[in-house]
Amino acid sequence: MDGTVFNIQRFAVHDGPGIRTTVFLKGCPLKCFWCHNPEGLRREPEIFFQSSKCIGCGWCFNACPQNCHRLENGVHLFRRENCRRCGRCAEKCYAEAIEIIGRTMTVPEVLAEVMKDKLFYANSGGGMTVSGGEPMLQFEFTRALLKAARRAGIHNCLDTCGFAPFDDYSQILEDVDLFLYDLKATDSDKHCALTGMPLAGILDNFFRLDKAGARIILRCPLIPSLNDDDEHLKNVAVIANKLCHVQEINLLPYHPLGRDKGQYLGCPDKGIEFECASESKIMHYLQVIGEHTEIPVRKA
Amino acid sequence: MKLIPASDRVVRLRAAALRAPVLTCPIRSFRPERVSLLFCEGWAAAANIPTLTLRRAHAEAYVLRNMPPVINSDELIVGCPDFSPLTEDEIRRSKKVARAGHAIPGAGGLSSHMALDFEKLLTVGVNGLIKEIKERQASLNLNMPEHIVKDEFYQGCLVELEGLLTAVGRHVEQARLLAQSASPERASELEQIAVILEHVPAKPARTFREALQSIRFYLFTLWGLFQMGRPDQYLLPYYQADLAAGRLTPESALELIDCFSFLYSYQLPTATSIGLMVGGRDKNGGNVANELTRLFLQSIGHVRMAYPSIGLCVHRETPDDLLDLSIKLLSEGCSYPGLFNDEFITKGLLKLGLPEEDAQNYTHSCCVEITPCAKSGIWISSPYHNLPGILMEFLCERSDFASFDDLLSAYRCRLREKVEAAALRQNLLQLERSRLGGESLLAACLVHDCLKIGRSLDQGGAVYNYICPTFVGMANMVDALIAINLLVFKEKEITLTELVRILKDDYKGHEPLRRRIIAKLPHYGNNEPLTDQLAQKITDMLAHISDGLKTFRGATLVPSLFSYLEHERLGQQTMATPDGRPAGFPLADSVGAVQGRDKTGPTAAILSATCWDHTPFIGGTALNLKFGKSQMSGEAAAKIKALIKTFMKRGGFEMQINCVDRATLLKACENPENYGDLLVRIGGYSDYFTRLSPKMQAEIIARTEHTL
Repeated sequence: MDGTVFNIQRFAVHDGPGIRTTVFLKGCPLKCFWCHNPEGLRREPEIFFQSSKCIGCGWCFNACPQNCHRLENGVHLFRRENCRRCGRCAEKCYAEAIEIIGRTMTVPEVLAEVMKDKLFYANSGGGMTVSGGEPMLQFEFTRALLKAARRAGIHNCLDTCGFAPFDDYSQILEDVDLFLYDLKATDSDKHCALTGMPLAGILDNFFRLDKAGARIILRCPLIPSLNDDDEHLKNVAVIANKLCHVQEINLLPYHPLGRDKGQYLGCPDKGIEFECASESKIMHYLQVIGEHTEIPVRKA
Repeated sequence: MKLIPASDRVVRLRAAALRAPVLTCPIRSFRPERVSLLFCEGWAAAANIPTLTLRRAHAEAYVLRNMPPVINSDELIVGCPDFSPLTEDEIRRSKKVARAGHAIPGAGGLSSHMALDFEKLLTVGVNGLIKEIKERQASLNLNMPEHIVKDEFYQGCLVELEGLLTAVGRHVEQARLLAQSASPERASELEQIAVILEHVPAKPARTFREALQSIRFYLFTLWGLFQMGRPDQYLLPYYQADLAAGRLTPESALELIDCFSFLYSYQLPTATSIGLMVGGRDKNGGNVANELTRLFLQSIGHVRMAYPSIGLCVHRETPDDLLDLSIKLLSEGCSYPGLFNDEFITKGLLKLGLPEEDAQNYTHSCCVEITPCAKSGIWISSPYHNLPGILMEFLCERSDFASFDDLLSAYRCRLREKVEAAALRQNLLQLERSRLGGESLLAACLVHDCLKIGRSLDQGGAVYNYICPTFVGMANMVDALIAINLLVFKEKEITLTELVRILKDDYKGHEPLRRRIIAKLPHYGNNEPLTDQLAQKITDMLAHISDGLKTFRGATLVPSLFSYLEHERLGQQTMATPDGRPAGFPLADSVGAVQGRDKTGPTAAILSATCWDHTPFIGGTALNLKFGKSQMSGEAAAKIKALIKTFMKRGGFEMQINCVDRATLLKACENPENYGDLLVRIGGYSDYFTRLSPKMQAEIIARTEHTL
């Protein structure tokens, strides 16, 4: 069973309890335009190019069968339109200016990487988090990975946007100890506008998972001027209150990391930037939600 | 645990300590100019004393008798050297004795570094030491040559102890003199200081404050890096008795510890270290951490100076609140405590043949070198060996190796030759020291078995006398050998001769090769099987490289793998190395990865650093980990604690945690390749600082300033 993995992050300390290893799977059905992991959007591997790191050695020029890399007036140009994403340029780039994002891995390969920090999980109550992208988009792989990790005695978290057939969720239910379930908007029109996908199915899955007994941490990215109004915050609390198994609500205030990454992937349109919430604004978020629910709320 | 805030007095003492001029006395002597002047004058005055040892003792006593007593404002504990500039008269006198000073014979080698038996000082006082020495002297038969040697040592000790008591008397007078012109409040404090000094260190200490004062005064008359040992154990009875009698509160005890600690800053030049250790277990393996342990740790947050260096001995039963407090202190930018692995260090000491009792009662002697308390004449870091330097010297001479294993075993022979030659040199230094003396006799009075067997430290009076060669640049070695193995032997892309030529040219014209080594070859610190296996092989080789060698005193050589500041100095002298390191660049620090090469995070760094057996390296190893402030506070603290516990469980020797400040982040922007392991928090997740875009870095820097 193969999957497309774009990162395996050890000592991930914000994706669930304890010290964790987060496996990032490539591809996402949503198109949130603040996305902080734009390298996880597309399903297929792609080339990440940071021209500022280029040392002008020219090794990639010869490596590329499509002649996509050229030097013009002392500037390294990358003609992405001809690129077939073979990654040979990245192999030869010792300055780490060109990287290939997304590699094919088997379940045992990923699990071996995850198992390296087993001792740390035991001492911290941590484990593996499968994230993305949207891991449910590579459902077969995700299911196999969770099962293999479960057999190895690993605590499993699944970080999901909720946009997948419920039948898929029900198949992995017993192998997931904790869902990190994203909620980006509480108004259906707004949800469509912000993420490109409807809210209804996501909410439906959310309620059905809860009913099935899944333990859930509700995670809310808050983007100034888009979804950080009091109405939304209140609705988050109201929705969470309707459920029995929400352990916590985590707020994820916007950070502009995705902005730069978009450029390096050749998607400059991903460069929309928002202001970062001030400490006092974050306090306000916590307060508004806290007023409407007994469920613990904190900044992730 | 409720933390006690620093008192106003402590805040003022800290400000004063920070204002104090940076001391510049020669690192080997630790003597301020004035003390050196007095020593030379005392030496000249003792011209008719028949032996070198006794003449030196008379000169030391002269210093003690004539040293101007210094009591600074706000101090409750006294014992501060006079670092004020020399007067014109003193400058004139200095010129006069300068020539005599040059003529005082002295030998090289290591001085001080051991922990003294302060428990004994507190129990019997200086008077008790004098009594013991006189009794031992009385039983000597001075018709026997070997007893004459002992008598010489005893006489010297007595001369210096009497000098010490005179110095105490002068401080009593000074306190009363200052009281005459002080505010009524300060006058009563000064009177109390005088009353306490009338009792200690001459007589046994009766209270916690007397105990601290006694130790401080004794320490202050020694010039060097003498450790305090395990004060949370031997001071506990005084603390408990005072609390019970209502003479002391935890707050006032902490203030006294703080007052005591600031005095170290006045006595030591920069770039040294002096320490004390808390926590750990007793000889029966029971946890000894107590309320005093907590006060010593809290004092770190009050003092926040380079000295003293405080170590916490961590073991399975270390109470969680001690680790929580330690992490809190470290997250606030304190550089202590260093976290020592009690179980594995004890195991290592037992392997060296120490009895259980001594194997539990050790301390770090300055940095991370382990020496048993009160019984040590150990020479640590003698000398520092430059692992990649020796490799390059070797490869410049020879490049005809049939295989990688052939190269490795030839290198092992070369290293063994170096270690043997260095050991011989250390032994010659010890021989010369046994003739010339030079180590403090006052220190010898508190090191077993000097008094019992009538021998000074230089004559081998201490119970433990091993010598620790220290190996610097272990990670460079591992990475360099990996690169040679892959490029030269496995892939045969380049010959060893060519590689060495490129290195001699400092990679000039071969930057892509250097980058490739850095970016695409495996590096130690990332928990990769290839590098970890080689690290195991190399550390195993180092653990046994001095097998069979004996020191001048018949002890063994005990290896160590830390670097103090030497990785910088040795790096400067070392040509480019096959791990991608350019010429002159610092070597890797202790057992950590080469700067910036551990890119897989702290768990991988810990797994690599603990994939080999640390117990043979009783001379010390250290793993430095850097974290951003937000990585260490709030909920993240629990995760740091899990890292510490895993490190200990895996048999790591010592771990030190640094919380990065803005200056470090700025340096990381300038030289990203050295800071590849620097982690920062970005709302909801953490990332490697140097992998962020320049804009993002600027943003983090701006933000960090608010929160640090």
